[in-house]
Amino acid sequence: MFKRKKSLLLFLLPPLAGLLLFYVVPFFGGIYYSLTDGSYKNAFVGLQNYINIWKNEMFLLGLKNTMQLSLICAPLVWLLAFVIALQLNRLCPKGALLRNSILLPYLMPASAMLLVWLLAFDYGGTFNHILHAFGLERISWLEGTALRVPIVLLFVWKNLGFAVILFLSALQTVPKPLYEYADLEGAGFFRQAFGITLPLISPTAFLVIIIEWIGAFKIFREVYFIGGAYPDMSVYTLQNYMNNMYNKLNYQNVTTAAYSFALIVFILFAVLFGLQRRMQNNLR
Amino acid sequence: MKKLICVILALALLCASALAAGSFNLGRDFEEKYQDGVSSAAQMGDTLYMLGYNHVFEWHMGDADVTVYEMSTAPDDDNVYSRIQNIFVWNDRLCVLCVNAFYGDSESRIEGAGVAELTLSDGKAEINELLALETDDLIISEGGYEYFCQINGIVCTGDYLCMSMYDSSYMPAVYIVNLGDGSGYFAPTENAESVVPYDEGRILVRSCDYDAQKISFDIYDIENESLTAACEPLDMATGGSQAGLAYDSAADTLYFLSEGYLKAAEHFDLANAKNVAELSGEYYNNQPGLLLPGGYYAFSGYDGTFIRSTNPDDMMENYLSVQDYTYSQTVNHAYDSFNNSHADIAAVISREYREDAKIIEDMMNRASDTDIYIMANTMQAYSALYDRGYMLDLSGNEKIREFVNGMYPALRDACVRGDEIVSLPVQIYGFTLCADMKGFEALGYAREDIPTYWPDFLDFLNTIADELPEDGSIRIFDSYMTQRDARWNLFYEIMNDYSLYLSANGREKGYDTPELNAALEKLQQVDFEAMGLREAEEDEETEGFIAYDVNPDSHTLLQTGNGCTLGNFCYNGIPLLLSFDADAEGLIPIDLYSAFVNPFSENPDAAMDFLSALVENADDSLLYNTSDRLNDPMHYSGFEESIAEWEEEIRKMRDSLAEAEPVDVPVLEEQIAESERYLEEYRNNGWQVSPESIEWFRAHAGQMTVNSYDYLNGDNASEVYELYSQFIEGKIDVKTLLKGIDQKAKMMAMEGN
Repeated sequence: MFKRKKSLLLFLLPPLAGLLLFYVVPFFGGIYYSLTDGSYKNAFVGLQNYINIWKNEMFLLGLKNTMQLSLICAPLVWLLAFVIALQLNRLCPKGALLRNSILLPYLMPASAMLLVWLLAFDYGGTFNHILHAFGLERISWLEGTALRVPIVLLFVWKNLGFAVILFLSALQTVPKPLYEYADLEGAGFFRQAFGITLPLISPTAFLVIIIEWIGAFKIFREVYFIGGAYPDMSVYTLQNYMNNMYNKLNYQNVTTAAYSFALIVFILFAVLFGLQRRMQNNLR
Repeated sequence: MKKLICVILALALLCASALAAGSFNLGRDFEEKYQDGVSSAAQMGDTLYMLGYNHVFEWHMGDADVTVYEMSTAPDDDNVYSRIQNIFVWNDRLCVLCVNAFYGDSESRIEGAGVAELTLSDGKAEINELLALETDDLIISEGGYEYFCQINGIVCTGDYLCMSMYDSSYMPAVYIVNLGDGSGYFAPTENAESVVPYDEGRILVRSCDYDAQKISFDIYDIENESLTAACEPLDMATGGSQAGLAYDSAADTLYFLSEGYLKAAEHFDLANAKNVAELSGEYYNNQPGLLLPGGYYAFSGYDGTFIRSTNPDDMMENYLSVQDYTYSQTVNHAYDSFNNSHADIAAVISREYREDAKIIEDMMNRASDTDIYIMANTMQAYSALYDRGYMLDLSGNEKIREFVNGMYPALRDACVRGDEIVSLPVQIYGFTLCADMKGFEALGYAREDIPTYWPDFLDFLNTIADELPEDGSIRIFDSYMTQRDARWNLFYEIMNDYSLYLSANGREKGYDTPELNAALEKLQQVDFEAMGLREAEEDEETEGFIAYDVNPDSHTLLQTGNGCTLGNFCYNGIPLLLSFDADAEGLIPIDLYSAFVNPFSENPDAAMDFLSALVENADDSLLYNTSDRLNDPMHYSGFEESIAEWEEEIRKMRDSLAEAEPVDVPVLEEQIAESERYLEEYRNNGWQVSPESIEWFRAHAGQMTVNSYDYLNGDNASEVYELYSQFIEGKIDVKTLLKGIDQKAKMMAMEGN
C-alpha cells in the first residue's frame, strides 16, 4: 500500500513517538533510578540496590506470597473458566443470559465489591453462618492465614467472567463434526475436552493463563482494602512492599523491586511461550 | 525635639511607602503591648476599627500607628458581664453586638443581647445600647448552664444584621436580624460557614458540605428570602480553601485568602483565581475580609490585621514559600523580620494542611513550589524526607550551626544527618504522666517512695487507693474521669513511654516483649473502682455534668498527658518519668516541629536567610528547652499588672469595709480573705517558667528523647486505635493486643527505610 518508505515512516512516527516517550524512555529511566542511591543527589551505586533488596526479608516475603497467590489464582480461574465455557457452549444459544451475567463482576468497581465481601466474610457474616449451619466452627476469615481464602475467591469471582468469554469465543471455532466423530468413538466429556477442544484452542487457552497470571501478580487492592499497608504476613504481596517503599520516598527500591520482578516474569513467560510453541508444533 | 519629629516623619514615610508597595501589617504587637488581640474589624470611610477583648483600635489609612481606646469589661453590681463581640457599621454608626451574661458558681444565664453603639473619645470606648435582640433562638441550655450561640462572623447590609454562627444544635447556620425591631430568623441555608455582603439587601453565603465534599457559594436575598447559587459547587479536595471573603460588586470579583495569598476570582471563577497579594496571616476563622478605599483589602486574624493592595502589579517578582504547621510565634516573627529585611523577595506562609502523600509526591517530582517546610518530626513525610536525605545541608550557615551545636545532644541528633545539619527546631513540647507531690506527701510518701518502674508503679496505685482519705480531699485521678478514662489515659502513657523506650535504646521495634507484657498485665489488675472513679460516662444526678473540684486544698495525685517541658510544665507537680527497665531512668518524651529547606528550592540562599531569621527570633520556649542558654525564671505575661490590679481591688474592698453595714462585714471580710489567699497563690505560682521547673528540667535534660514516626502513630493509627479500643473494652487480652501490633511494627521495621 505504501510504496515510499519515507511516507510509511511518517505515518508511523506518532505512535512510535508515543511508544518512545511513554514506554521506552521511562523503562530505561527506571533502570537508571534503580542504580542510584535514593537521595536527591541521585549518586550512582551500581547494583547495590539489587543486592540490598534481595537480602531484604520483606521483599522476599512479598515475592513469595505474590508467586504463591498467582499460582493458586491463575490456574483456578483458568480451569473454572474452561469448564464453565464448555458447559455454556453446550447450552448455546439458551445460555445467553448466563453468559452475559457472568461478566458482571468484572464490570463492578473493586471498592464496592470489597464492602460486600467484607460483610460476607465477617466473623458474623454469611460464610460463617453457612459453616455454623453445617455444625462447623466459625473462622476468622479476615485475620491470619485464613485471609487468603476471601482474597483468592474474590479474584476468581471478579475475573472468571472475562476468561469464560475468551474461551467461549475460541470454542465457536472448533468444528462440530470432530465432537460427533468423538461421540461415535465413545469419548466422554473430559476426553473430548482435553483431547479435542483444548489442543484446538490452545492459543486462547495460553492467552487466558497469561492474562490471569498477570492479573494475579497485581493482587493488591483487595489486600490493601482488607489489611491495610501491613496486612497479615501470609497475604503481604510485592505490591505492598512497593507501595510502602513509595510512601517512604524510596523510589530506588520501588524501581529495583519492579525490575527484579519483571525479570522473573519475563523468564517465566519465556518458558510458557516455549511450552506453547512446542505444543502447537506437536499438533501440526 | 528635632529628633522626635524626624522619627515621626520617618515612621510616616515608612508607612506610606509600605502602603504604596501594597502591604501593611497592624497589631502584631497588640498581645505584647496590650495583652489583647483583634477578634473582628469594621471599616468606615478610610478608617479601620478593630475590636479586641478590652480595647478598640482605630487606624486611619496612611497612619503609622493605631489609636487605642480602652473598653470596660467589668461586671455590673449583679455580676452580669457584658460580652462585646463583633464590631460592624450600621447607618454610619460604629456598633457592636453585646451579650449580657450572669456567671454564678453552679449556673450561668444569658440576660439578653443587643446592638450597641460604640462612642470613642479620650482613650475610652463607651457602649450605649441601641436595640435589644430577640434571643430565644440563640441560647443553648445545658443543665443549669446557658450559653449564647457561637458567632463566627457578622456583616451588616441595609437594616439587616447577618450572622454566621453555630446554632443551638452546634450546626453551622446564618441568622438574620431585622435591625428595625430586633426580630430574627434562620436563613434557609445548610452548612453555611461564612457570610459577606453581596450587594444592597443581599449576602453571599459560603457553605461546606462535608458529606458530599462540596463547597458552594449562594446569594441570599433577605427581602425575598430566596437563595440562588452563585456558581457551580467546588470539589472540596481540589477546590482549595477560602477564608476572609470579600466581594466587590462593581467589579464582580470575589477576594479570598488561600495558601498564603490574597486571591481574586472574577465572575466567581474560583478555579482560575489569580494571586493579587501575599498574605500570610493565621486566617483559619470565618471572619469576612474588608475592601478599603483605593483598592485595598483588610483582614483581621488571630495574629493581627493585614492590609494589602488588590492590584497584582504591586506584587513582588519573587516569593519564598513556607509551608508551616506550627502557628508558632517564632515563625511569625521570622516572617516579619525576613520581609522587613528583604526588598527583592518576600516570604509567604501557607498553613493549609497537606497530606504526607502529597509532600512525598511533590518531592518525587522534584517540585520547587515550596521552599521551606515546617512540620512535626512524627509525620511520615518528615521521616521519609529525613531518611532519604531530601533536606538541604544547613551547616554552611553560621547562625544555624551555632544554634544547633549548642542544643542538647538528643535534639541536636534529631537535626543532624551524617555530618550535615539538615533541620532546625521551631517548636518543642513534651507531655507525660505527672504527680502532685504535695498530695503524695500528705499521704506520707516522698518522691523516692514512688516506684519508677511501670509494673511496680501500677501495683503501687492499688496500694495508695486503699489509703485515700474518705473526705475526697486526695484522689488519684481528676473527679470528672471515669474508670474507662483513667484506664485509657494510663494505657496511652504506657504505650507512648514504650515507643520512646524502644527508639532511645535503638531496640528492635517489637511490642510483644516481656517488658510491655508485664506493664499491661499489671494495668489489667489496677482496681479503678477502689480509686472512687465512676464507672459510667454520665451521672444521672448531675445530668452528665460533673463539677470540677476547684478546692485549692484538695489534691489530684496523677495528671496524665501533662507538660514536662519548660513553658508548659505541669502545674503543682513533677513528671514521673516511668521506665520499662527496673534499673534505668525513664525518658522525657519530646515532640519536635522542625524547619528544613527543600533541596529543589530555587531560592536556597533566601531560604537559609529565613532559617537564620528563625534562629534570631527563637521564642522563649525554644530557648529554654533546647539548651541551658536561658535560665531565668519567667512570670506569665502581665503578671505585674495583674498583681497591681488585684491589690487595688483588695484595697477598694478594705475601703468599703470601713463604710459597710455591720451585717455585711462578715461577708466582706470573707471575700477579702479569699482574695488575699488567691493573690498570694498567684504570686507564688504565677510562673510561666518557674525556678523549680528549670532546676528539674536541667537535671533531667539528658533523658530527653525525640518522638519520631512509627507504626503506632502513622497511617495505621486507626487500625491501632481499633485494637486499643478492643483492649480497653476488655474484648481482647494483652497477648492478642500485642501480637496484633508486634507483627505489623516488625514488618515495617524489616522493610527498612
